[in-house]
Amino acid sequence: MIGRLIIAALVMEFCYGALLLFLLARALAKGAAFRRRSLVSQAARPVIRDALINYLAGSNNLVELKKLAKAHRRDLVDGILEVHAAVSGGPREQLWDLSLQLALVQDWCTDTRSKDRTLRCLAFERLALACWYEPCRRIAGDLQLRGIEDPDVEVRFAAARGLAYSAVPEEVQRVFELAVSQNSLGRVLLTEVLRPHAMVLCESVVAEALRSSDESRVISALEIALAWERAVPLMDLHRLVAGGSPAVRQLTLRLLPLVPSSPENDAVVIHALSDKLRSTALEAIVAAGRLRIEGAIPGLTHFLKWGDQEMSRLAADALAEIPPRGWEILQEFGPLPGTPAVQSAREDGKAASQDSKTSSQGGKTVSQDAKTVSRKATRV
Amino acid sequence: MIQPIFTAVLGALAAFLFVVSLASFFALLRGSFYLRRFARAQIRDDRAMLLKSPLVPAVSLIATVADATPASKEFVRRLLEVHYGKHELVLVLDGLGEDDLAVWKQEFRLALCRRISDDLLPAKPIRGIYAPGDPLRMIVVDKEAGGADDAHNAAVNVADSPLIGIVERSAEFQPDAFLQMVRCMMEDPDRIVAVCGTAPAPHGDNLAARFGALESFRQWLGRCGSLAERNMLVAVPGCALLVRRDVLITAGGFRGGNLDMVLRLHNAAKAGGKPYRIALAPETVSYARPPATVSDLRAAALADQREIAGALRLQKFRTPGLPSLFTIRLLRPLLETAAYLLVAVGLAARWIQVDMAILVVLATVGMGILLSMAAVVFRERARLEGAEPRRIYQLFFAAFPENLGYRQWRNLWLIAGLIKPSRRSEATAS
Repeated sequence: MIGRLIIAALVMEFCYGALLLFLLARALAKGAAFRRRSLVSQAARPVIRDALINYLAGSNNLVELKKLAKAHRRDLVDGILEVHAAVSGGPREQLWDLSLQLALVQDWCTDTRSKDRTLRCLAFERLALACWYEPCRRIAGDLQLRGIEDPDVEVRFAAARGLAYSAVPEEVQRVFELAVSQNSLGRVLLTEVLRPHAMVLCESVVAEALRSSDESRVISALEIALAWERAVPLMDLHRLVAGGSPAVRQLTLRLLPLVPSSPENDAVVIHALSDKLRSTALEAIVAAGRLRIEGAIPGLTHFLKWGDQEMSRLAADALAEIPPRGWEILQEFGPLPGTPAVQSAREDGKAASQDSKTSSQGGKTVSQDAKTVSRKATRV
Repeated sequence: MIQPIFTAVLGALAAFLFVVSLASFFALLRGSFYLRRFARAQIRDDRAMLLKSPLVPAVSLIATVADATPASKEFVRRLLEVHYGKHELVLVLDGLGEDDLAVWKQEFRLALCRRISDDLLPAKPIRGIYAPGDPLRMIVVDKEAGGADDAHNAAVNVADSPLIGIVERSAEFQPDAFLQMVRCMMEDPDRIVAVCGTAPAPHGDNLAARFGALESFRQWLGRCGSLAERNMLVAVPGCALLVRRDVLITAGGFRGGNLDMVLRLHNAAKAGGKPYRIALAPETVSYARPPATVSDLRAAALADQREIAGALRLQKFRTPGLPSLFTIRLLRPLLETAAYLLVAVGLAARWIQVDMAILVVLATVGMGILLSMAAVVFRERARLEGAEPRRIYQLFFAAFPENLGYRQWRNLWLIAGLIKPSRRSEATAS
């Protein structure tokens, strides 16, 4: 019985051993091939780089580059992408023109139809860079429109990034729609390429998304607009503060300083100061300061007096942004029990006020002093 | 009378060890498929974009020191060099004396600052919270001595970012580790509650280093790849962790090291009733320092074993990932050592035949050699780029000496790690 078990175990282990030896042979072959390829690449790369630099410097001799394209196609692509990151303007156009002449762009176009997801994604990634150049866009534009409907999300992002270089508003809008409908990673990847089109998008699809009844869509649109970190022409945001969920309200309050000021916006910020949710009230305090809403001064003073440490610190910050009344409040503030931050703000406020009186013209200096006051208020 | 019982017991042990080894073999295979799929999916390098995007959530890195030695300062300096858009380091000085505190104050020109501690996790009282005089993204918490877990809890209380980053003090980590890990989290921010980042480290050229490499390969494929595929991922030595603060607080924070904390996350997320995932970033973002000597191997095995033993004491047995750890790290070394002892006794007393001893050797040494060899070739399969052929066959054939002597010795270390009282402060160090 035990003899049979030993034979069975030996047979099984022998089979596994044979399989592992086969896999070892493959791993060794793969390792050797990789090593060989890296050695060849190592030798070819300086030659490719020199050839590309000569070409960009004005040499029209394509013979060498064609030879390199034939012998070291992969390394040539890597070389072009490397040089691409280091140049801009005319030389970059020359580089993509070269890619067209060497049929690299055409290769990538073919790869976009591959069944291999990695190859497809890589092709769209490269085309996204190439589409910076208009003649490449003419060749690959339609492919990218198809690419943003690919079943694979990474391929969709790659295609969308290329499409965003297009000046056609409808195509850029499609990219925005994709960004809004994807996960946070997708938004991060696409927000940057959509930034140049922020103004156009805000007048069309962003405003539409903000009117949507789907809350996740509204939040995504607000996040993208915030991530652009630039002034955007969005109207009627006060409606979102007045009627949105806490998350929407907070994001909108953060966005308000980036949109054109309006009495309605100011009114909702003042109203949000009394929001039951602490985090919303904190956002409103910050917004009031950034928008310099004088009407918010009573509310801010209330927080300075009676708010918790975080609130009083932010309120002091906000008041420092609203001269001259805000500064006067900080200066005139009476001693309060248990709020050392406020006392500190008040004491330093006197100094800042004296500075402001002495420098009647130096608005900037005074503003900096007032900021220092509120920052010092954070110290215990 | 005793002879048939002895034979039956040894036969059952050999059969069990065969089954466990076969299961391990398939776990390695499964892990290699998963890791290969992952490697093929990594096409683009998004780090630059993640670094500057305001949409990427902030991270509070937490770290603990219990002294003011140059090694501690070096650890803190490395953490301050982390590349990330919005991050801060929450450094906890755990029960430092006046002199040591003065050293830290001088090192970073610390001044008391107003920062609120949430007190959501249990921790010893905080004596003071400091901010550096230099423009560093850092908060220093001085608290009464309470051990590494207590200090980590205090750091989580003070941290105000939605994500918490943790690296072990003994680990080697890349400055952009958290950028790579946050990418995984952002792919599915609602479901992913934590990301664990690690991959085998480059190893040295001596035999001890090769044994360490074989161990790290098995760990990466089995404990990382295979468990991650089944959403049972647990922390491994040297890994970096990125955890959602809210889930960490719900889970009760730190009580028995990183491993216990991740198991706690599994339990808390399961109790929440929503689908969740603890994801793996199988890249060399962070790894345990590769062992160079046998004493390094022993120290690493003991530290890991103590964490596992602690987790087994603190967590329910059915927690995802724990039964596998129990079988591989506790049951197998115990049964294997018992089988060797029984074979020795049986042969000496002539209760068993030599063929039974051969069967036990095939079930332990034979399968062990195959498992180590499998780890080498499966790891190569999981990687897109090929390794140097000399290194591959050196590791492949290191499986023989590993299983003929070292393995049996290591079993004793693992048993010792189980029996000796847990020394948490040593095991987790940071």
